[in-house]
Amino acid sequence: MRAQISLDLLFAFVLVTLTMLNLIYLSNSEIAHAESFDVMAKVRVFSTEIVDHTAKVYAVGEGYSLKEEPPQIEGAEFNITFNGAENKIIVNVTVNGKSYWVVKNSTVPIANASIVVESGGEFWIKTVKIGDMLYANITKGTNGN
Amino acid sequence: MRTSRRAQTAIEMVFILSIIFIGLILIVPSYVENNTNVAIVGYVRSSVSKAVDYLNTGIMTNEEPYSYLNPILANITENPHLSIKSLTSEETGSEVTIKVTLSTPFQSIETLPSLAENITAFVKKDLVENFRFTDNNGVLSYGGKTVNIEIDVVRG
Repeated sequence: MRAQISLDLLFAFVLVTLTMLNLIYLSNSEIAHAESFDVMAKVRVFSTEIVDHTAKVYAVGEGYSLKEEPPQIEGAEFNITFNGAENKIIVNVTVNGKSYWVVKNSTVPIANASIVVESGGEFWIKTVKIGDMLYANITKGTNGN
Repeated sequence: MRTSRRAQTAIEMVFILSIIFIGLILIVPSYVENNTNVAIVGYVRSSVSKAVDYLNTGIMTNEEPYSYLNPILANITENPHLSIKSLTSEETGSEVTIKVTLSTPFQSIETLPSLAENITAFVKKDLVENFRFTDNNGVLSYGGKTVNIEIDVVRG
């Protein structure tokens, strides 16, 4: 009688294990997905912030600089490019050999500039006068100059 | 007397065991089959929702399966607000057909060229890479079953 119970248990255990293995497999891949998604969400917030702050700096006008800090992502390198010709702001983040990037339209005129910064670093958004026109610009200078 | 009782118990035990084994033989195949179908639907859903998340976030990456969606993102300037509207599965003996309907409120997204094709390509690649599906010249299979995926994008 005791042997019968343990056999039943064994079968039930096998079936439960099958289901659990499937679940574990699914959750593993979800974790990998969540990890890359964490970076994507941060890049998205960061890029929106830059576009937003660029417009603000431009609105305040000449001589105004705003300090920016990239989000905390381990081992990340941020490459921020202002493309004045097409009026596009490109944020490219490289984490462990994987690259994440987004191209956004700037709402204000911008100069041509490109900087590379790491998590924990800082950079400035400022205005620059070229000819008679005022442009928003990005720089790594210590105090915005 | 004593030996015959013992023999009787042994025969009862054989009966009980045989009933358990017959039950097992009947239950296990259908359980495994059902489990395979449920797993396929679960995997496809998870993969489609990855694609939708990726497109809605709008950040491009060069990671393998995601790069299949980059041609779409290059044509999108704002959040497409895609969502999974319905997911149905039809199961026959050797085939599982899954129809996924995505919805977006924007006509410009709905009419994007090869939107559904790109998402399908991503889902197939993702299933092969992350969920142990196999791809024989474009025919997906999992657990000995052929899996057909049809993705459709509608407005609303």
